[in-house]
Amino acid sequence: VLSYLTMSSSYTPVSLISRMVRSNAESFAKGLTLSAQYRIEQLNALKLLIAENIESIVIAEQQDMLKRARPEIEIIECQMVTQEIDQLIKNLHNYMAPQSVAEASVMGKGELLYCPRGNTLIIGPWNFPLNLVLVPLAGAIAAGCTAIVKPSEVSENVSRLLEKLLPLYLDSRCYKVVHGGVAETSALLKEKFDLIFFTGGPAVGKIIATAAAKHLTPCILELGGKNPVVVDDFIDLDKVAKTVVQERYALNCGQVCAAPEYVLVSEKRQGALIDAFKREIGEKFGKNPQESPLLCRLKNKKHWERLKNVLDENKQFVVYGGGSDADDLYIEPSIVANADLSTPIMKDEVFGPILTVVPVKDIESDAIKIIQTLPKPLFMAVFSEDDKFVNAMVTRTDSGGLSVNTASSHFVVPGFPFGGTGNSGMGRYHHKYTFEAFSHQKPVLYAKI
Amino acid sequence: EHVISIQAKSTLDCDINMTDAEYTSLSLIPNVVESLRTSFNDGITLPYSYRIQQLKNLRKLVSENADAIIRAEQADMYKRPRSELEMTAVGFVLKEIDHLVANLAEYMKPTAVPEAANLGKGQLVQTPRGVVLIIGPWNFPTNLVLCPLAGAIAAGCTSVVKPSEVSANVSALMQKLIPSYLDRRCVAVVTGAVPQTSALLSQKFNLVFFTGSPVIGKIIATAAAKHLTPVVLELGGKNPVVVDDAIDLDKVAEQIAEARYGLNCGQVCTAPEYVILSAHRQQAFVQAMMKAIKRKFGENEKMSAQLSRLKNRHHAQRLQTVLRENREHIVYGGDCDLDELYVQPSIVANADASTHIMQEEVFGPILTIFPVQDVYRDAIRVLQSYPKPLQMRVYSDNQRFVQDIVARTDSGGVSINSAVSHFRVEGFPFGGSGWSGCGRYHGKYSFEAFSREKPVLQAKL
Repeated sequence: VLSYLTMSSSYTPVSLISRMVRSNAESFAKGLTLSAQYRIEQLNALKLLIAENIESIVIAEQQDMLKRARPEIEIIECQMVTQEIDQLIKNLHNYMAPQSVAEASVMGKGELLYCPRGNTLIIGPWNFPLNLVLVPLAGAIAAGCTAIVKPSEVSENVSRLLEKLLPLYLDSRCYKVVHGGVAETSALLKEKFDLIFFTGGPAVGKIIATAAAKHLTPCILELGGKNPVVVDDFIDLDKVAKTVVQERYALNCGQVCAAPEYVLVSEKRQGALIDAFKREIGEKFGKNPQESPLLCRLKNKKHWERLKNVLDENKQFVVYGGGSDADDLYIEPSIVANADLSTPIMKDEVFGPILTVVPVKDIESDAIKIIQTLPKPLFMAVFSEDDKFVNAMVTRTDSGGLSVNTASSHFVVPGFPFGGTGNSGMGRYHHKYTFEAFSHQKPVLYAKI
Repeated sequence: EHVISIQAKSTLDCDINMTDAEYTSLSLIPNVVESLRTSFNDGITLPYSYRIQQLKNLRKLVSENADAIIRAEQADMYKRPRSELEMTAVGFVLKEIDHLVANLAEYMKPTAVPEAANLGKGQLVQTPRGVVLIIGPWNFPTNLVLCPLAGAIAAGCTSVVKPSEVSANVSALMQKLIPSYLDRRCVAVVTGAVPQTSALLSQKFNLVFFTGSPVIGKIIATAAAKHLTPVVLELGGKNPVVVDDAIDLDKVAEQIAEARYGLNCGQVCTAPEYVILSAHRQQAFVQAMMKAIKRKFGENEKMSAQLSRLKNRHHAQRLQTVLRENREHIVYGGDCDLDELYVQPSIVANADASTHIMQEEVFGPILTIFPVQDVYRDAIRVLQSYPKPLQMRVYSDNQRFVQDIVARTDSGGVSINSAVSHFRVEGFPFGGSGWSGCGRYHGKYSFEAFSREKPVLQAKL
């Protein structure tokens, strides 16, 4: 497989794309993907794809992202995917079984039945390039759909690897990979699909939603935004620092859609909170974070430059870190403090190792107001042991998901649906929700004439 | 009785048209939405007691004005039977509101997620979408704005209601009644046509709920995409009926005649549009349909109290054109009287994919027969060649055939051996798929349509 990776670069020819979509549509119309047996076969094949190629996956991922830790790749890009597949296999017969509707009995026998959406398109991002296409793909297979997978060309090696591997394991009449960039994605978006599953930024999310609207195609959009953290006036700041530092800096160098972006705290506690962050960063990454094995790098030059600009634009507010190294694609874990809504860093998602602290006068009312003003985030963390305070945050603001007393998001919680709301997305998946995401629950009435 | 009194011709000519001056002023629209946003952010609509109070007020709006509602609907649709309106514009709406009131406490409760136990206490918390826009159509103008509105209130949202300007009397009535019964801080009525709707769509809502045609549905979806606003689209299309080689044609015809011609002159998004059957059964089915039409409407359909009229001259003309374009296929009916807004219950036979009538939703009293060589072999292929319909009907006692169709095709809903649509089935979610729509409502699904389940984890620190 390694030799494939060194072959000269070429995207899927745009001229083939229409044919590929039609081929999938024909396979779906024929009913190839419908039987439970077929779906389980394909799911098992997908499991094998991962199990038999861990080395190649690790190599490709590390080529795509400098200093990406092997455990992170093995856990998030391989194990988590396999766990999701296992859950789908184990529960497939339950998911596929019709659900009785008792109230319908006046008119006959009423049932709700999950029906595959049909021919689907899955577009993935570069930050967790395997997980964020293979988990949706597993859902598409489980639901009885056909799928075209378009991994991110920005994670070029993983995309190319998938292009080679998928047809070796899955039925290529029903599951295909398109490797390509803007031109290839645009060509795909002109075609009619029964569902589009997209993970990426809100700006491209709007483009996807607009293209889908032309065909009245439903979308699942897993987007991002600025995820807030709210710290009340009493909670232990060291405990806050521990989990926030982990989520902002340690995983994929902060290039995670669910990572905390800004922290709301009372003015009077800002100093102490920043001290706690500094202590935790020091303990976690050592005196020279650039040498720490726990810290990886920015995706590429473009993203490094973007983060460098963020540091420059907010120079007067940087209270910790601020260091960078262009050749190493390195940005030091940094903190921007005393920010308010007009501070440049509050404009866009940082998606990197810079945390913002926003001090407010009254933590409850001001936090609610600020969060209500900004676009709905994917994730929100609230640190407090006061039930009333927590309840106010939960009921008066909205977000994809919310955690209390941890900065770890709903992505990793067993049984939780994962997704955003408003600007951070629509739809949800993981566990049974992935099956549902690729299905249409159809009411069926059986009567006697 | 099939005889009705002839109304004065002049009534038909004065479709009450609200002038532009009476429509909501465009410049007010951003403020209307802003005010609803403030109300929502202030948390006014969140408490259970508030929502129950508003739902009860909405119920009073309907029950105390049932007669006015019916008269407005009749002013908007010539010869619409009172009995139908008592059911669709009043009874059904009251039932929906009552269901939400009775179950709201249950619906508002968070759902426990035991699988999260290792990490802490996990719950799915019912969260209102926020500020929503409800746009209604003209065919059931009261029902198709008030039922969504009930769901929005139950879910804790604030709402803009935009009734169809085509049903001008109902629209004017809603504009008068809603602010008298509901909290003006939280529900606003905007009346108007394309300019008002466009102005609304350029505002940011947290959900847009639209009932209407797929063509407009696309426009709504495109506008919503700019704000990443989710939509519930209740659209339409060509609803198929599959009739196998063995089922009793008289019984089928009876049900299909009622469903195609008997309600609102076929101007119903779930009404059957075309019948797929084996060619050798076509003639017998046409005979059965003719018998059923006679039984229902008598010798002179125009005189029957069972048959209502087309919405207005534009739609009567549209149907007249359909009949003209398909005239060599008409096997029954074909008569029109534009002044009466009357179109005779008609049947077009021997249709195939190229026939004019198969290109667009008829939305009127014309049934199409689409014969195939062998219904068992060919039905699925035909069904798959058309956009997903809102309502599919299959008449067959052949289990394998039925299961094959159910498994290999999609639609908003399917009825087997019944013409009842999933709109009317208690406990069923109502909505389309693909071209016929996205999202669903009715009963608890109305609450869900305007809510979102937010996963909340309470970890141990």
